[in-house]
Amino acid sequence: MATNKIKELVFSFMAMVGIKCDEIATDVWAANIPEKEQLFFNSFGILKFTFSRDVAEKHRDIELICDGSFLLRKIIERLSEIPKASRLFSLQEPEVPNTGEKGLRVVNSASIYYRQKVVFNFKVNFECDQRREKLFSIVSDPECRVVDVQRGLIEINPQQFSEAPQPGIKIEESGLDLLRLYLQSCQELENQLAPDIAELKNWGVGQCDEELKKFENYLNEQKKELLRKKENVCFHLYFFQKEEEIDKLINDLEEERNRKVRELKEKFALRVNVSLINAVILCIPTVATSPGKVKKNSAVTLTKAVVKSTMPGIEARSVNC
Amino acid sequence: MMTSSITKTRAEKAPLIQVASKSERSFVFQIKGKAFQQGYLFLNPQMKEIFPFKEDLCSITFIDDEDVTHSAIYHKMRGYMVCLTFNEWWEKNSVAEGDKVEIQLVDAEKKVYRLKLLKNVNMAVFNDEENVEFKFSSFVDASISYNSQNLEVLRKLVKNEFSPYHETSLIQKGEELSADMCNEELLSLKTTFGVSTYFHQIQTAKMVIENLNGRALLADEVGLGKTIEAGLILKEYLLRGMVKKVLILTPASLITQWQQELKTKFDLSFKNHLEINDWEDSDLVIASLDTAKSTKNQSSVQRIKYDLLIVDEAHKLKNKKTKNWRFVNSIQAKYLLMLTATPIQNDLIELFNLISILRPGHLSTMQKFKDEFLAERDKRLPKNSIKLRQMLSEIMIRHRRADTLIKFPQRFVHTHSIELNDDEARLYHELTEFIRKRYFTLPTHKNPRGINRLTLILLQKLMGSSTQALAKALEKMISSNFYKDDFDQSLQKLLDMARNVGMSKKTQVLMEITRSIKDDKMIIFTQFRGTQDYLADSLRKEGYSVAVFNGQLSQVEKDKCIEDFRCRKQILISTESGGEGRNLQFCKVLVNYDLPWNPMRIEQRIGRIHRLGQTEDVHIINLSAKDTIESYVLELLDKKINLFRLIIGELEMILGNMHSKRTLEQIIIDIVTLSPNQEAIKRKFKTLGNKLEKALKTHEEINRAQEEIFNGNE
Repeated sequence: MATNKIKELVFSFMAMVGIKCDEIATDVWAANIPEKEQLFFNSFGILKFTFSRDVAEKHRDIELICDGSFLLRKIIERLSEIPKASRLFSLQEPEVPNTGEKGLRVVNSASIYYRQKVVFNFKVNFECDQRREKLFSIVSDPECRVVDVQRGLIEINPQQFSEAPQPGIKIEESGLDLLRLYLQSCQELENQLAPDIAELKNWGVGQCDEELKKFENYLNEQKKELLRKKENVCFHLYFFQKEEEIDKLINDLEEERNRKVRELKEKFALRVNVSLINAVILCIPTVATSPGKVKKNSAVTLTKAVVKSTMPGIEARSVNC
Repeated sequence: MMTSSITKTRAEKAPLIQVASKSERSFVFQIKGKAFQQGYLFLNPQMKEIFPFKEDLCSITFIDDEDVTHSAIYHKMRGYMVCLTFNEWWEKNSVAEGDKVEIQLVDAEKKVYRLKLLKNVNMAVFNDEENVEFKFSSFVDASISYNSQNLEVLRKLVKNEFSPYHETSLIQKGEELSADMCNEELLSLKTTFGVSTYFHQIQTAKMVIENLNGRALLADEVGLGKTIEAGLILKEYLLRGMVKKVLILTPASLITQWQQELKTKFDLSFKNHLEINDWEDSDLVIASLDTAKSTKNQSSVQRIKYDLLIVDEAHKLKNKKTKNWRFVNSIQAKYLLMLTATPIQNDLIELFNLISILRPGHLSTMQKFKDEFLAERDKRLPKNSIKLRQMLSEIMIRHRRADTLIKFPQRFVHTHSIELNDDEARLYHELTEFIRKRYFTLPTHKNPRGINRLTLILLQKLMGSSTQALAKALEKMISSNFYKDDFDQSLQKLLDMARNVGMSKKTQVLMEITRSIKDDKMIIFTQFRGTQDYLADSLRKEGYSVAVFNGQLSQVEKDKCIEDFRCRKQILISTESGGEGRNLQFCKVLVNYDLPWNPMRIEQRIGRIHRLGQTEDVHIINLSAKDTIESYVLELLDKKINLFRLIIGELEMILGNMHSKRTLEQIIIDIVTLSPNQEAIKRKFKTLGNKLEKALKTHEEINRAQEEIFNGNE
């Protein structure tokens, strides 16, 4: 993983929580940690850190931040706990919907409005004695009735968007039901996850069954052995006591069986957790097909895009796992 | 999947739904319009009472008549909920307008409701207290769960609480980095320090995680770094978020070493059982097997669900009938690593017993195992070894030194037996006599004043180190009021004698050695600060550059000291705490200026420079004065068990074969303090030497058996 990406993330995080970092020597930074943040930074008042393994190897009091370091993991976890949503306005020319009409169309500035698309960014964790993580971006475009699922997260080019609308263009919100869009995105996401889920479930069940079978044989033999001993217990001087002893051992075996079976099932059970990393509403200037009359289509079920989004300013950034 | 566009007003979708009847936990309404079919449920004020939640948005679960779950999101402010699977329910049940539906609260905390279609049912009868049991199935996969935090993001969207995009995208960048990390082969390699990881260690870590489901017997030959392998696996699991609660069980004598190695090499802070109040509260715990299985702790340990359990020196679990075996077998652990270089000591059944904890039944049942693998002539040897090895390869990893192709440099040992000068000899005998006498008049409850046992032993050890260190200690004792009265005169006499000694013979020999190694780097180990200061002064006076390392230095000072030694200084004088986990392999000459009575400490000293990663031959120089306790200890360890030639880690195994409850140091202390005269000391040391020889022999026999089983010919 590029150190630059880590550096960028760490410094942006520090800036976000109001901590200033100074480079005090080559590849060594120091940060004054305010009291309220000290618990997060392992009680350091002044945190010295580096991104260089060589530096950290020589100076063990300096925190190494690299892929795999606990501090980086903590920062990422902390960031993921902050719910964030943004709205961006495209700076591109207004889109003219294809109405099927031929010839030139006159565009009246009053007929331009912002239609909204929503980008939901998801992280999916699969856990089944092994762990996978996958990222997905889902772009829901209610007006075009399209749900575009992408592996990895898409990158929005901030140069092509602004955080404020252009004056005079209104945002059309009436047709947008965000909750429905979210649920539709989740449904689409689950369709995408189905092959992974099936594969991991099969693997887990196979492993679990194999181990259970061996374990059951092993226990059954022990139980048989104990029962044989119990049959011959009459030869023992204190046979009542001996019988009780064997019964206890059999009970213990049963307890062990239950415990181990539970443990194995738990170990190989598949758990999939879906986290919504963030959401971004993209407002696209659009020419109304019939001024003042915008489709209200909140209840429409969107379909998965056949062709990937060709919208300017958005591109696939990462495809993971 | 594309449906036709249906554009209807809200009134059309939910034309003022009327509640037909209502109780405290349920209501019935008649379906009007197709809102339900299209995934919406609009609530009127009466219906809202059954959804008394504070959150703006919340997840609601509906369970229908067939126990199928439907997930909905409830928008409190707008008074409606969305559920995409309502239409499937609608179609499956052939719901029509005018049908009646009952919604009944099942679990307010979990927000679970029962959804019932009341077609042709007399709707007047309800029983709110009815106990309902569900077997959940789902339109979607039941193993999928959604993070509760998701709704918070949605809430921000719905309420137009937008953040600047650079903040929103920062979270995204973090997740991308995290996902990239998942793709890395072994994350743990990047954050370990002072460890030269070898191919066989990396291979072991990957094998255990990827192929053995985290349960394995790590049985590398001694000296190949099993602890490093376990550390890599442990850290990898922690970094991948698959492990949180870890317990390490090790012999008591190795607890500190494990703690230090995990801290310095893997940056993992484990607490030992003395540092914790509650086993449940601490995630990373290290304890001795004896402590963990004690009556006081046993049930606590058994109650906890550990993610990873590591058992060092696992051959102690070879017997299924022992409390050790039963206890470890009863610990709940998802992953389990057992470490031993000798999985078989006397009998193949021992191996079966070890594997039975890891994966019960893997080697089939006991009887079948005996029938198939146990040879009648020798219990240690299998009769079907190829098959056994094949089965073991699925649970056990064993590397031999020869397999690794690692070059192990030679270790040369030079022992200088030094004659004490007259002053030193007189002081030595005077002090030894003083200690012996005082030992029999140790302080009691009635007469607490006096020199205690530990101080007396310390004085003896100080004498073995240097007269300068002894003098310093005596000065302190005399200046303390505690040792006034009848001890005063004797202590003063000893102090005067110590002050008159001048430069000892041992120091002179050290100076000669230093001159002979020319510009090579050298580490001098001593147990005492007094000796350290004296040696540093003496060497500096001779013009040598000296770095001093001890436990009183801060972390920064320690780093600087090691760096100075690496780059600028020729000699490092270190006390016992010297450089745990630090890479000192650039140095190849080690001097034991004094000798600890605990051989494990000597091994640790040697381990600082002669370990995996050292490429050059190493010279170990021992300085000992003739006819002193140190010379007896040296003879014992050097002649009887070849301590200075043993592979790091082997000593613990040999000492284990002595089956003594006391440590070797304790035995030596007893010999020194409880013997009436020098002759008795010599005699007892000889007996101890014989025991050590026997332990070494057993160790060699075990090694031969391992070789035969795991690598011999069919």
